[in-house]
This record gives sequence, C-alpha cells and structure tokens, in this order.
Amino acid sequence: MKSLIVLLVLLSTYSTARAQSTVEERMAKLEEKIEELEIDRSFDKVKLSGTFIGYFERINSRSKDANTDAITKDRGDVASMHLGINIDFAISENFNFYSTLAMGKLLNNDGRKGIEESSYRSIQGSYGYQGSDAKFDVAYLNWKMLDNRLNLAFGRMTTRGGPPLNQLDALYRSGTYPRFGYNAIFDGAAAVYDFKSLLPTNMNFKTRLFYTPFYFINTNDRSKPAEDSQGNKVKRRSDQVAILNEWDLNDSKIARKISLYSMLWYYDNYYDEAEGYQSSTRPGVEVYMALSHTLYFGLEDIANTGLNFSWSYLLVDSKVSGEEHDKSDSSLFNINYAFKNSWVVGLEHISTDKNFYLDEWSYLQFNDFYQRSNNNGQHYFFTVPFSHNQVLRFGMYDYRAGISEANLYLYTERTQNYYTSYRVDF
Amino acid sequence: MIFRNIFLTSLIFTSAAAFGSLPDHIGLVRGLCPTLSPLLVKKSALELSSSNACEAKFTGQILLSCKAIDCHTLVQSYKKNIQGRSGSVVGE
Repeated sequence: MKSLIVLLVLLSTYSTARAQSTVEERMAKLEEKIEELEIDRSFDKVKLSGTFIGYFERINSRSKDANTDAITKDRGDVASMHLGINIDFAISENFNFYSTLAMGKLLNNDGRKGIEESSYRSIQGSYGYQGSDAKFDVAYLNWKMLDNRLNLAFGRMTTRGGPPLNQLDALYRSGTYPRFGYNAIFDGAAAVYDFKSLLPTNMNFKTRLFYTPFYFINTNDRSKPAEDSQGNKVKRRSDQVAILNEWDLNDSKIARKISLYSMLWYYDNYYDEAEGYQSSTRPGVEVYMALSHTLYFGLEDIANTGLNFSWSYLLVDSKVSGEEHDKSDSSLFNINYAFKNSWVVGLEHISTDKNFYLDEWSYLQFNDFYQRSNNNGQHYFFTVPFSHNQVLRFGMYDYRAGISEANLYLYTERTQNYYTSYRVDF
Repeated sequence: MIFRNIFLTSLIFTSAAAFGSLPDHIGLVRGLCPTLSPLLVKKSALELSSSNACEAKFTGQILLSCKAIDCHTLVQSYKKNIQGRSGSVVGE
C-alpha cells in the first residue's frame, strides 16, 4: 500500500514536471516565432501604396466670340485614367524617402499637343494627359530633427493638392499648398517648423518655407545659357520662394477643427520661350515678378454636425513683359456635408476677376473651372465611399466665364459639364 | 535576454515609427485611453476600413470602455495615420 502511494506520488510529480516542461517548450517556441516575425518586420523598410483614378466627363459648352457674336457649341465626352504608385523608404528612424511614379492619359490616346516648355512640363508632372510615360510626381528626402519639431526636405515635393481638395473625396489632407494657392508640383528645398510644443495641446502652428527655383539651359549646348527668339541670353535661374503658415485649433465648441492658413509666394525674371510672351524691354523675360497671397479659412465638422466649410482667397500682383502691374483677388468657397456613413454632398462656388491667374497645372478635371478669369460658377458634387478604399464621385461644373486678356480668352461662355470619378487607393 | 529584447524593441521602433502609420494611430488612441491594450487598438484598426466600423466588435469595445474617445476621432486618426500616406504633406 505504502509502495503504491509512493508510486502514485512519483507518477504525479513526473506528470506535472512533464506537463510543465511541455508548456515551457511551447512558450519557448512561441517566443522564437515572435522574435522571427519581429526581425522580419524590422527589415521591412519599404512601403508600397498607390492610387488609380478613372475619370469621365461629359462636355456641354457654349462660347460666344466677343468681337463677332458668333456662337460655338461644344458637346462630347472624354475619358481618362491616372495611376500613381507610391514607393516610400524608411532609410532610418528620422530619414525617409518618398516617391510617386505616375502616369495620366486619355483612353487609347498616348500624348496630346500641349505645353512644351521645359518648366511647364515639370510643374505639370503626370497631370497634363501627356501620355503613358511614367513620371516621378514625387521624389524627395525628408529629415526629422529636434524631436520632430523641424523637418528638412529636398527633391520633388508633394506641393500640389492641398486643402480643401481632399474633402471632395472625404479623405484626409493629401497635399501641401492650398488648392487655390498654387496647384503645381515643385522641386527644391523646404524647412518646416512645428511650434506645437509652445502652444496649448489643442492648438497647432507650423511654418513651411520653400525654395523652388526654375532653371533654364540651352537645349543644344548645356554649358551655355538659353537664348530667346532674338538671341538674347536668358538668366539660368529664376528664384521662387513660398512661405506657408498654418494655424489649427482642434476640438472647440464651434468646430472640431478651425484652420487659418496664409501662404505667400514670389518669383521673378521668369522666362517663357513661347513666341509673343517675351518682353521687348527686358530680353529673355516674360514675367518680371509675381507675388501672391492665399488665405485659407476652414471649419471642419461644425458643431459636431458633419458640416464643413472653407473659404480660399487669392490675391495676386504680377507684372508681365513690362506692362503695368496686374492685381486680382478671387475666392473659392467650399461647403460640404459628410454623412455618418461617409457619403459627402457638397458645393463649390468660384468668383474670379478679370486679372485672375492661378497656376493650375496638376489638374485631373477636363474643364477649366478653376482657371478662368471673370468666372462665376458652381461645382456640385456627391461622393460615395464604398468597400475598402474606393470612392465614387458624381458632379457637375456649371460656370460662366468672361473675356480675359490675361488668359487670352476671347469668349463669353456657359459651361455645364457632368463627370464621374472612380478612385481606388491601395 | 534583456539585451535581446532591447535590440528587438529598437529594431521594431526603427522600422515602424519611420512611416508614422499604425504606431501613431495607437499612440493617439492610447494617449486618450491609456488602459487600452495595443492589440485591441490594432484589431480595431482592421475594422476601421469599413463604413460601419464603429459598430464592429473591437471598435465597439474601445468606444464602450473609454469615453474620452469617440467614433469620429477614431476614424479621423485611421484616415490620417493609416489610410493616408506619410509624406503627402511636406514636413508632416
């Protein structure tokens, strides 16, 4: 009996020890697997993503020649696609490289007649339906310093597509320069300082400085400066600077986010090789100077209702080819309502004067709603996000634009274009 | 063992923090709700891609257990940090 008890105790002890050993073995194997996954992940320094946009626009436009009163009607449709592949590298903890390889084209049309000047093609990137050649719309390095308060960037930057463009597709902010300030892709250097640590927790203030010069070289001999049509030498560099100050207040009683942005940009001695644009008094120069001030005021989720409102105001002072200063001020209003299920219905209203000029190069829509001077018009849109990262948007641009010498338009028009945009982010 | 864990932790931080995506989202959520486990926040992040995410299981648990955060804040953080692309705004 005693032996049996001893045997049972021994067996029990052995079983417990064996079970404990099995549990410990399993724990060790699990730890090893986790360690392996963590190490694999640590080498995963590349992030791939992308956006594909299919776009269809029905054109319905009526023009009137201001000199002859002749009426011209334009009806038809166009379809296009735009693809961007983002390839981002985490070089180290505070050092990143961002790039986007993209192309945009009409369906079954590889390229179109359009702007050929070297600087125009650069600031247009892939957005001018130039064909299926892939272009780098983004290629820049970014360094974070001073505990992320200071960022330095160099390369081809994400300057285009700032607010409120993202609200059309119910997305988070997806670009830098306010949409009504400068819709173009620029190369250069930037320094961004975040003053958040000096402010209350619900407040942000950032200053973004940009230096994005234009360079012109002789197309036949790169060691020589470019020459205009009269054989005059053109300055190799046209300086361009921009300063963007952004103030945000979060979680106030008025709105979940109140934004007030101010952007100044300036460039001078810009050369345009197109005939007829060159100055007779200053050889090799088309634009002596251009100074612009954009104000962006935005309210997101007003009183927790889902209502968004923004007002973009553009003030431009420019001097072209020795003529008098042209000053203009114009506005773009955007009001939209975001339903709880993410649907968005909205309206943009634009009002521009006769001297209005917006560098609207990186566009996706076919109409020129955002570019026309003497413009008074509306853009109605209805957005349906569905499935995972897919957005369908329906809309109409309805506007009347007047005569503008600055843009060399001669017509008074009524345009009513309907469109559908299908966007997939992956 | 301790040095191995420190090494692994630093590797994870190096790779994950550089893009400012999921860790930033977790940081924002746990900043408002410190008692939430990172794993729960990650599971909720998988749900946030759908339109009725706030009624889904893990997101619902977060909203139920922490009154300091609401559905809109969760979705906005997801859009900014996970759905959005780091580098879209220069200096962010």
